[in-house]
Amino acid sequence: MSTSTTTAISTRGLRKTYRKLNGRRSVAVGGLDLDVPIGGVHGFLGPNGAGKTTTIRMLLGLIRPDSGTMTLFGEDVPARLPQVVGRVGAIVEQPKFFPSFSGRKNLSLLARAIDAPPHLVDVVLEDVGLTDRAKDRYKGYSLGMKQRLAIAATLLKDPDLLIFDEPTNGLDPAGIREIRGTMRGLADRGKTVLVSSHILAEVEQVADTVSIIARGELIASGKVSDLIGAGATATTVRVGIVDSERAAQVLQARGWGVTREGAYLVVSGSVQPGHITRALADQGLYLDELVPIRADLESVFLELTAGRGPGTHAPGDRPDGPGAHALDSDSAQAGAAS
Amino acid sequence: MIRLVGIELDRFRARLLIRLGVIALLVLSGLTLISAWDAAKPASAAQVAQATQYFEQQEADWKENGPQMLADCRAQEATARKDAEAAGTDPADVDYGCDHMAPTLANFLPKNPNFAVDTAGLLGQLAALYVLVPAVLAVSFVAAEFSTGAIGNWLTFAPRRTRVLASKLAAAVVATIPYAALGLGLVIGGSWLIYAHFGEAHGGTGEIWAESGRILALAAVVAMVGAALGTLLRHTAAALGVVLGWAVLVEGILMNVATGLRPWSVVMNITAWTNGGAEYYVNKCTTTPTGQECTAIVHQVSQTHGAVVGGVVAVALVAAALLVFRRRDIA
Repeated sequence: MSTSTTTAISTRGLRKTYRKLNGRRSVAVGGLDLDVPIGGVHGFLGPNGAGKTTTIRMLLGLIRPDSGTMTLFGEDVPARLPQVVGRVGAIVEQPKFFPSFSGRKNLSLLARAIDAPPHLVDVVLEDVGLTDRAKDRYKGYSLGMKQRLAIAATLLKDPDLLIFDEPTNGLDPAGIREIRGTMRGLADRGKTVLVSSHILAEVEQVADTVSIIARGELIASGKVSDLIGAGATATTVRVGIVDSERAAQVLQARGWGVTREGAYLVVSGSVQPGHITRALADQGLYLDELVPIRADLESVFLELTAGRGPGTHAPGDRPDGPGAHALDSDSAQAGAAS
Repeated sequence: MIRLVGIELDRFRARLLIRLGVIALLVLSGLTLISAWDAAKPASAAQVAQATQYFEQQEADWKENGPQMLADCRAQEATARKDAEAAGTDPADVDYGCDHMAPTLANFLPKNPNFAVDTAGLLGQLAALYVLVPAVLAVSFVAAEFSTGAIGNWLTFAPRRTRVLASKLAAAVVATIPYAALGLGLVIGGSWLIYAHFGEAHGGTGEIWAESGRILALAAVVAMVGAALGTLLRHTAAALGVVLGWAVLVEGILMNVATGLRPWSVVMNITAWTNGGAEYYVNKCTTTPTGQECTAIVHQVSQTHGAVVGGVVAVALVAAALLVFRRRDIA
């Protein structure tokens, strides 16, 4: 069991199953080895039902794992959870407060539980912009306001680790951008933020590192840039040209892969856009449009969760210590160039 | 732990349903003073005149038929005592009241008001209210946190589940005592004022205070049991359904069918605790040459028995709630 304090979160062989009505067992988390480095925003990604929320609940002591170990800042949980829970703030799925109490009342009860000074409630309400609605009952809050109140609650502890589980669910674009800014701001202040989401575009914009799980197992982890680079089969280019038939022949003759997407050609195979332009121009063909298509986290994710992607580690393939699942930058670039 | 209890008390007080329940309890308690008024006021001239008329009618009938009625009564009583002796029970328990058959004017007048006896009886009737209301409020208090999911959020701030549950149980008990005491005080004080108004506020109050204390203790324990039920079942409706089902199936049906189980009836033991003891009757039937004859055999359930059974039930439910809550996955 790793007791290193360079990880905010560490799990080994974490497993949780549920018994279904027919008596058979359903695996929610199947032997998860997860490491979240201290500092920065760590994306915890996976398709629906991958085990993200179950993992988070186990870390917070809300669910008992069947087997495996977990640590938060080097402290075994749930055994040492009371000693470390003051350093952890969490929003798990939909925020849950008392509907008939005001936002302020809800926060006051939580603040008293951790012996926080009463004025801190006003401070965190101000931080999330809920001061004007603090006296209103929680059940009258919009979804965005409920999320903000949940964030305010996490801030009461001034935690070192914040866990956000699907924080942008149901929010409008402005609310999503606000949450993104909040997470980035917290990380920039030296905190560790674990954000679990299936909206990969949002995570890509804010996360420094990610772990991707599927069917309760870790598929890949590392820096976002490394993951995208390792997962990219190549830079591809979308070409718009009138004589697409002849253009396709010219490009294929150069050894590039060419596929059709409607009226466009998609060229792949370590292609430089300038080389495409020259190759076509040499044959008297001129482009109407040329758009480089770069791999993103979503494409990498889909590739990895549909099967095993390039540059990933097998579950038993881990060296000891923190960051053990990080993708090697050199191997990632080598993979991209192949 | 004390901090957690304080927070739970704050939450208890702040819930609208709790406030409405307490107000309802106090109002209902106050309404019982109407019966205190009726019991305390002296008989009106019209009531006395009517009672006198009925008495004179009955007295005339007694003069004519009394000796035969008395002889018949004594004969039936003697037969019943023989049957009881043959059945192995104490024949002295058989009493047909033959010596009290002659009519008296007092039989037809409203009974003499007696503050101590009447108020003690009034409190005994209120015991059910002081079981029902604290139970419902405590169940709702705890179950609401589970049904809204707020318990999950709470546990991320206070992860020690034993302390969390203990604080809720303690808060349910501590919060119940003041409002129950207020309600009982309202009844006792109001009753005393009424009887004093009619010049009948005399008699020892020891039994009144003793019974009040027992009802107060009962209310507190029931609140704790209600909180435990709320923890186990997580929904107010489910808990109330279980209680209702128990009342109908067990207390209403099973206890009538399997009379040997009556000493373990919740209602029986609550009654025994609050009233200083309880009785129940079991018919024992024997076949005689003249046919089948049944005798009602009286059985006693002592106050101590009521306290012990109630205590064991309460402890068992609390222990079950603790065991389940410590291990339960919170979704």
